[in-house]
Amino acid sequence: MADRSELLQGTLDLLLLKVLSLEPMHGWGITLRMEQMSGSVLLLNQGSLYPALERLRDRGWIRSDWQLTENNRRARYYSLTAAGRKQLAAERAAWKRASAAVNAIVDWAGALP
Amino acid sequence: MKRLLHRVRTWSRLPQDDAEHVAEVEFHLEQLVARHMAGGVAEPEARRRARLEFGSRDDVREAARSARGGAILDDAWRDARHAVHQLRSQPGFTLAVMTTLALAIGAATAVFSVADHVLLRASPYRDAASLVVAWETDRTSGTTREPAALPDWRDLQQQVRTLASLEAAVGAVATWTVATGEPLRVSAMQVSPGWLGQLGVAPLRGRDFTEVEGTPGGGAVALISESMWRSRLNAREDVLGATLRLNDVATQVIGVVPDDADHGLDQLHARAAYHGTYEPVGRIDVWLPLQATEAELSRDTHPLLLVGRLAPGNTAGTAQAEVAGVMADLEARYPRSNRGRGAFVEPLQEVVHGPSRPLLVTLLAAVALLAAVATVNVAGLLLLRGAARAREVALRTALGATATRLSRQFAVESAALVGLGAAAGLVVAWAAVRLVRAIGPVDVPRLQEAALDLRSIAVAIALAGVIGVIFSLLPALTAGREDPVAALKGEAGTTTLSPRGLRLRNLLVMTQLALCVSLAIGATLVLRSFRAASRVDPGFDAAQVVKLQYELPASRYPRDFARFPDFTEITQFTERTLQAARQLPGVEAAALAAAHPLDEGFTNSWRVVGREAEGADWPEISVRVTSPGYDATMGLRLRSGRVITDADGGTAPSVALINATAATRFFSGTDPIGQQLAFWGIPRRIVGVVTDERIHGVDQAAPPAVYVPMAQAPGSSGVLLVRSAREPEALLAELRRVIAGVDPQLAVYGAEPFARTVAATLGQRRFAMMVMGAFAVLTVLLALVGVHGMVAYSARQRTRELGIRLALGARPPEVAALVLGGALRLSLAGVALGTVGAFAGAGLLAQLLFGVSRHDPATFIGIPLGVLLVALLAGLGPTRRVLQAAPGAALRGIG
Repeated sequence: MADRSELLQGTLDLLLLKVLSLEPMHGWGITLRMEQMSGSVLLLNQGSLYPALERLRDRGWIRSDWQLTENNRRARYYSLTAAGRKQLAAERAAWKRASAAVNAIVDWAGALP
Repeated sequence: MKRLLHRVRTWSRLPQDDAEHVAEVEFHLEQLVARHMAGGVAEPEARRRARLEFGSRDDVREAARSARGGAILDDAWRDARHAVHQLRSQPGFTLAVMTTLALAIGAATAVFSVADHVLLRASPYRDAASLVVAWETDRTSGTTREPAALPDWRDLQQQVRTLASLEAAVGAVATWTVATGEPLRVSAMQVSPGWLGQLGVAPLRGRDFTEVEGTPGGGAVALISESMWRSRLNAREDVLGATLRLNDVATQVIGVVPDDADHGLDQLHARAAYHGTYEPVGRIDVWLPLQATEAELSRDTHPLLLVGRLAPGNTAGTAQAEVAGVMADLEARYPRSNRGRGAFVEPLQEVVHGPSRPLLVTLLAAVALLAAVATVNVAGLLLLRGAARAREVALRTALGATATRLSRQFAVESAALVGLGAAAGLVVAWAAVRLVRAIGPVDVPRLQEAALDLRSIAVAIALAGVIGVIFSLLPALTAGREDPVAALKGEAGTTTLSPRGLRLRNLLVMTQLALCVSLAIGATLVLRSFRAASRVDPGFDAAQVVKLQYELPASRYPRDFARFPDFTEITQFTERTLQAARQLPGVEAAALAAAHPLDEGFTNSWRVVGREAEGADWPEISVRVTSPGYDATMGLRLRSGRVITDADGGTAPSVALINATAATRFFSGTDPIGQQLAFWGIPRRIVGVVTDERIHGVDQAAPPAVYVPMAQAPGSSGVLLVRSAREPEALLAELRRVIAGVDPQLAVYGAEPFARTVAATLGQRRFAMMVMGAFAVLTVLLALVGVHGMVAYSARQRTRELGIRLALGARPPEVAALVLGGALRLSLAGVALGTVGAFAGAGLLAQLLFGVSRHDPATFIGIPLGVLLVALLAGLGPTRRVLQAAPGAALRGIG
């Protein structure tokens, strides 16, 4: 559990949308998948996960329904809606632009004229 | 819209959502535990770690719920609690605002409720808009609303086509002899058989009159009122067919008329038939069929109130034209009786509501002013408090509260204030309506029906809503414009309005003063009118006089006009009554008369013997039938000649007195004494001229009148007038016994000190004066609070500056002038505005004014000066306080 990194503010929605764009998942599954995909760097706090899921659902980007897990337990699965897909594309583009800009600054090596 | 639907859906599923969330979290925890156990941790420890890792389940749930939008209800609750806390922490402010709002909303609601019932409420009559009153006019006297003659009515009924129906009614007083106890006087109306049907009034029980019952000898039948049935007959089921002794005639009850079928027509009729107010107010107890013959009611006599229903496609105007045409034919055919007679057809609604409309419109205008002043006042208070809370706002903004969040909280606070104010206002309105019914003028139709009902409550709520919206807009106009940094840096306890807030506040104070001045001027004009009306010399002296009225039933007091004036029974009654009354201890003078001095009585056509041709164009003259002693009892003063004495009996030569108006108008340049005038075909020698009695009301000029001895013109109805220094109630009781001693079967009514009768005729004036006076006092008080607050605020703002000025040698009066200067300028502007407004709006009052010009200079100069003075006085206190505090403040650097 070492080396937990705080999520950059405002990125949680983007990450959730991205993860859910792969396949419908329950809350626990999302935590696991984030952990795995980030190489155990990003650990989700349940205190922010569920409110975030509610928020996304409230905005109509994801929907939820109860399904059986592979070992026959009932769990709430979240999946992306069409609006969610659009939102993901938009947020992804914005993130790319912003992170490229941040990287450009952080990695600056040249000289100013 | 979609989002809103979603909101509603999420709210509606809140409990289910929570349950699902719990299941979801449980699942998550289970997985965490499983993972720890897979890592080799024992179950209890795994559970502990899982819970620790997950954090508080409640917090998670709360956060999730908040994200769902369900938190809005929670927020509202929190806001409300916060608002209540705020209001409780400032009881003075809360009380001031609440009281102001309660008074304004209460007064407005009460006045609306009255106006609604009297003016706006739909008539219970079927299609009331098509009902008209057909009056006769008299070109010689210039009267336009005279009741009609029976034969005229019959002719009109047959000939007029623009009216689908034309029915007649005449007022009567009936004596109801009950099995046990004193006989009762009931107010009755003789109506043509179609009367109630034309109005659309169906009997509650039983049936209406038949055509046969509307003809002479058609039978002794009666309809009674619902209230009489309930109160006097205990709502007996067997009332139909029961027999009542009315005017000594066994009369069969054939029906009961519902009380709610009255639309002021009864009051109107009471006014026409009884010449003013009567008890019980505005209610007809008994309807009798009109069975008169033309022999009894000739073309010379005008007792009938004619109400008609317009035929489809006609207006009062077209009916007027046709009725006037028929009247012109009648004038040609019956020149002796119908000379100068025309017609005046007008909507019934106009007749019923016309007289009280000026009063109610004035009151509505006054209450609107009051409500406006109150709103402005509270707005000022809120504004100042908003400034006082600038620090709080700044602090909370710094701590992350959003603008929406803050304005929502302020809105909730305003709503709580207005809501509380409105609730208290309803209580005030309830009390006010009861008060109005108790003290209101009796001649305003339907006033007694005024009640705090759903309509008026709706108006109160709407008014509160408007005020609430204005208030919630206020912070939006000023808050958020305060500089948070400046507010935080400012001294605790000081308040700073932004320049914009300051301007708004000054505008509010100015508006308040303007409204207050307009209202005060209006109230003063009404007050002066009332005083003028009550100070008029009415020509009689009401103090220490009591009156009792009676009606002599024709069955025991026959009037055989062949024997006139030898009506033995009537004359015996008057002589015995007068004699017994005069023998009571403490009685200084007593008299009988056909009508008391404020009862218009009746008028008659007449001639001066020898000047018949000239007199053909003269108006009818008021005939006042009085016994000897009337002058001593009522304080009637003699101008020349002599008064009526005991010697002027039935067999003595016929004599008459005339009043000053008649003497001036008809005998200018000649001495009327010794001349003869004639009416009812009897010449009477004029033996005296007396001063004018204002029999049309103390605020109306006296008409020409002739006084004739009762013995020479006996009548069936009369009034006993007694002058005595004794306590009225005991005297009245003894006088009742006197009349009962002469005739135990007689109903006595209108027994009261005559001063009370006089006061009742001033009822509308008194009422207008009291209500407007109360409103004016209220607004002046409110304006005072406003000015005081403004001066106190601006003075406090400048404390430091003033201190420095003082330190540099400015003299205190100069500094005081500096502080008051601003207030003076504002007050001047407000007062000037109000004066101009009142000057322009005074026309509204025209019909309520008497003996005072609507642009009365004294009022228009005095009131503005007075308000200005009061405004300055209101500013003195805070100015003095600031002068005392200033030097210290300058040193400490506060300000």
